[in-house]
Amino acid sequence: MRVIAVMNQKGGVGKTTSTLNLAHALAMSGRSVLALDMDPQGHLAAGFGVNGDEGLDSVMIDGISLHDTLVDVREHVRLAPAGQRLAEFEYVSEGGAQRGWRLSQALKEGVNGQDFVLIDAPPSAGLLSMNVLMAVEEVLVPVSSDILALHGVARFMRILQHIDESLDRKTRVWVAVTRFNERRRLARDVRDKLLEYFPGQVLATSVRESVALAESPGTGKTIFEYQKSGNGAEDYRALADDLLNERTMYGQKDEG
Amino acid sequence: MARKTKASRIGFDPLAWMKDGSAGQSFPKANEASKKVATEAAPKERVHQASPQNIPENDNAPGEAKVARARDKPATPPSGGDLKAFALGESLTITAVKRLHSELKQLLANRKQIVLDAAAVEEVDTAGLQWLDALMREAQARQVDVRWHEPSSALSQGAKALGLTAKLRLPA
Repeated sequence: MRVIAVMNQKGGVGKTTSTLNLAHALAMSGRSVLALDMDPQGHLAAGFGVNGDEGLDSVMIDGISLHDTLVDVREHVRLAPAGQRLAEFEYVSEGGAQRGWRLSQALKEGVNGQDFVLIDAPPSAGLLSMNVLMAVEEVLVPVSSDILALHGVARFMRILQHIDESLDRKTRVWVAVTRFNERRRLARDVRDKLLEYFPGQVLATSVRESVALAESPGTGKTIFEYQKSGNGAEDYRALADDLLNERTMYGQKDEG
Repeated sequence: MARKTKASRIGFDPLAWMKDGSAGQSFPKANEASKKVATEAAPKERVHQASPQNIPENDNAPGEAKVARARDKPATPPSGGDLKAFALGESLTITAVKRLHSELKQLLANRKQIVLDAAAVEEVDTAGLQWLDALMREAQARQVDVRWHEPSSALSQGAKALGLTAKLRLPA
């Protein structure tokens, strides 16, 4: 079972879009997927077209079993929605350092037999994010092709490095280039910068900027249901394949 | 920490600290509770994994020997609180590669960091060096950190003759 957090400190880079569409793409390739929405905004449930009033908030705050919160959203995809109260977990005071391990414990007790667990993480550095980082061995960092997204990656990598050093472990990091426009020099420069700092870790497919990708979550459909033959579907299908087979991009400096 | 990059639309490079190695000197401010949880006592099994003192002996891996934990410095002789190394033995040739490959393949699958003890290597050939090259590439693809413990002069000279010093990450 691969447990992968989809994280970046910067909002709007495609975390939820990536979690949503990767989950469905992996499921369509025959894998069983559990999607967890650890972002109090709760957009992942909306993206799947389900009501997410209760879910991980009950797991994190009340200790309910994760298994009891799961909803079948697509064939081979089960979802744990965020729930309305998830943001309250940031203010839970009892439990001491064990608060950082609640998600990890919940996964151990409530999940088995899945090929993939994808966790949509919040764009923050609080207790929810810490729980996500304690629970995973791999992180997928979507990075949109703009400068502020690089700042988000930089901030996130500092936090991750601190945690890895504290726990004497090395989390596997994958980078996914999102909202990519080949015609923009800035986009190519951002991608080159990522290749420079993350050799062998940038997934082979760059997800192209696509109106359909921006629209589909609002309809409760994944990109494969909303526009199955467009660039968005093609790119996320390929990105899922990259993740499955650990296929990365070679670094080739843009000379143009 | 941030540097301007010429001929790039990016300007100041927010990732430059990753090359400077200065990440350990400052961290972004985080919620106090979340700062604590990463460093205070974790569930027992996690603490067990995290402490170098508790790395168990592996009786099933005859090639392993203890060396001192060394981050970015030359390895030192074994002492308490050690990171286990994999001893390459005396021969790094075509006849030894098969055994080494099957043992190291397992380590690559299970470890985040491997230390190769090359102190005893006296005999190398092209096949052995090519295998090491392939190993390094496989390790990079798996994001496994591979370090050397006392690479012998035979290994260093052999790698130099084939132009593999940099690829094998041996000292120049």
